[in-house]
Amino acid sequence: MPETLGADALIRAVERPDSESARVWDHVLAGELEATVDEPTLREVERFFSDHRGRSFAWMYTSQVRRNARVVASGADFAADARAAARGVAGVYNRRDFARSLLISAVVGTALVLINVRPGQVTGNPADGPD
Amino acid sequence: MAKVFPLHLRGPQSRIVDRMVSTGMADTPHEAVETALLAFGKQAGLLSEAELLKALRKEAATEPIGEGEHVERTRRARGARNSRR
Repeated sequence: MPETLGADALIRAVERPDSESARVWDHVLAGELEATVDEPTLREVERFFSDHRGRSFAWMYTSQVRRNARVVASGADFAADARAAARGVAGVYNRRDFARSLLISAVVGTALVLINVRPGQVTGNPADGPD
Repeated sequence: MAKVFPLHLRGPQSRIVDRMVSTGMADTPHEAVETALLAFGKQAGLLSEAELLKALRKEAATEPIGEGEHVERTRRARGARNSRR
């Protein structure tokens, strides 16, 4: 389960190297932990460092966050998308649909075989060219 | 260990520095060159993510922000975010 990091945690990861946030970010950089950050959070972090440490500092750090964390459009959008996807899978495609899919593929497959059977043959091979 | 030497840039290198400053990626040509070197070091595998973070932390430590100020500045950055919604 990826850790969702907020702006305060990302800022403290740099400003307070002894903090818990710094330890979490160290684990992310070491590849021991997955992190998710949303775009508004990243902009907030960029603004903080841009205002107080300079644009280049802000760019270097937010670039590092982009390279090492999964960046999503926004937390709310991401959660809504995930819920919609879960509803979609559960509500649209159920066991009954699976049985229907099997039946349809069996009918279509049989029809294709029959279409390709020549008189006198038991099975047909579509790879065989015309006589 | 600081390195101080005159740097003469021409051609594309000079244009890159100008663009970095004009697009706001860096505030000064000096900062642009520093940033470009860090980015190159990262891309060429000369600098790990941990080393880059260490450099950023070291730079931040030269002008530490007190806890009260830190909270206030974070709040301001968040305020700017909310006001843009």
